[in-house]
Amino acid sequence: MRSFISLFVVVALALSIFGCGGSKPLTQTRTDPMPEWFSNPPQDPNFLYAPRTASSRDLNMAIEKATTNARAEIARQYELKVEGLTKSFQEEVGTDEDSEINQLFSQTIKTVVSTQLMGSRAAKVSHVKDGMNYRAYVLVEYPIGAANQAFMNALKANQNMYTRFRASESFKEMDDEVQKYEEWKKAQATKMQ
Amino acid sequence: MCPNSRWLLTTAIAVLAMLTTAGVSAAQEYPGWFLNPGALDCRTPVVGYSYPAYHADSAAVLAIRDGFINYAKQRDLTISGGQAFWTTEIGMFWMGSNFVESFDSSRAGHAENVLAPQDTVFRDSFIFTLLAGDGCELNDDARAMHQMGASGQPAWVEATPKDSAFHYGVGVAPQYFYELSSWREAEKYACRNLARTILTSVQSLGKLGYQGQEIINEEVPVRLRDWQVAARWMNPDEKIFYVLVRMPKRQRGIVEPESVLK
Repeated sequence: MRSFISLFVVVALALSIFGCGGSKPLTQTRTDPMPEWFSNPPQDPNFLYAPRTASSRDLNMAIEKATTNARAEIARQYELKVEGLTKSFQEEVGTDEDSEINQLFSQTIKTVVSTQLMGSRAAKVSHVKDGMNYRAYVLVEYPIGAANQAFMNALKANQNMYTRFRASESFKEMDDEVQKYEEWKKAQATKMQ
Repeated sequence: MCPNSRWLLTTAIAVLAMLTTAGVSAAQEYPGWFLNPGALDCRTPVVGYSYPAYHADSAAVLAIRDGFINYAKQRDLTISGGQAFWTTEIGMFWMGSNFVESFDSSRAGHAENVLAPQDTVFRDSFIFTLLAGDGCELNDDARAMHQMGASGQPAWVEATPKDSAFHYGVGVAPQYFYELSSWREAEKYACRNLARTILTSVQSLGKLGYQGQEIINEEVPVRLRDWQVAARWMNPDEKIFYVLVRMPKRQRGIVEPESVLK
């Protein structure tokens, strides 16, 4: 019995000594500078870029939040670009209130932007400890050529409208971007060989 | 010293020793084949993990079985589901996720005929083994142990590689009590990021007015085929684990989003 009490006292003493870890500051301010690519994202006419940051106690949750937010931003950027294109196409063909065009383009935007981002990638990811949290910095990139290609493929579903669109300046502009993207892909393939 | 006080002293030393040695023992040395499996001249290299067992050979068998399962996943893995976030002025909140990974587990049985153990490393906290197809010969560099942090951080940790041959995905994980859990989580997120690169569906519903808020939903209906772990790395200072996975771009039937969606 005595030995049991002694053991209990020793364990209790040890726990009380090692359990007191001292007080830690409640908040710690992050002092690391944010990545250069975050404050000054790259500019490339062939890509859309979206830098985003988020924090969480869970490292992966911080990265997921920042990445998803960046992808939503990419979708918005592309949507704006296609809306601009729609307007210029409407001005070109002189049918501002053409409901068929409006419907077709809005449906196509929905298909391409809202349901498919093919080839978007987290090009750069960085994270730092920010007090009790992790702060993640993410740069998502999306090749415009790939998006345009998907857009044109979706337009092809309406053969009549696609034929009209093909004859426009807006199409040529978009087609140039697709061609540039194809050349870039070929150049990448050659580099690899 | 009376017998009782001697006993007391011994007990105190034992308790102190127990308290000071408790925690994660992380020997930060890994063989070349574990850190750079993508550079191996082997067919279908796969790593299997297991927790330590009382008998070392039992742990090794479990690691080999885990390797067979990983082989099945690497041949054909479907990642479906998604997650949603709610963004307000005060931050971004996670609303929930329903990601599901599915694979044909019968391939694991087939792996027994294809793979053979090449090397196994025993640690206090976990065991890992390399399995590969016949004819795999590990060179000295692949077998050599590499100290983490000795050669600096690899470039792929911050900038995801980009080339015309492969799609890439990087996953990270913090240190958990069992190191195995960290490597597995990093691999899981690397696969998810790889799938997102191939196809992501993003829907965003924003509301601007008195209070600005947005709901973002993302979905990933992707099938990964013949992907592999290309590299692993651990940051010894921050205790963060990194895994790089890749999948060949030019392969028939890599992505079948339509069939997965239906």
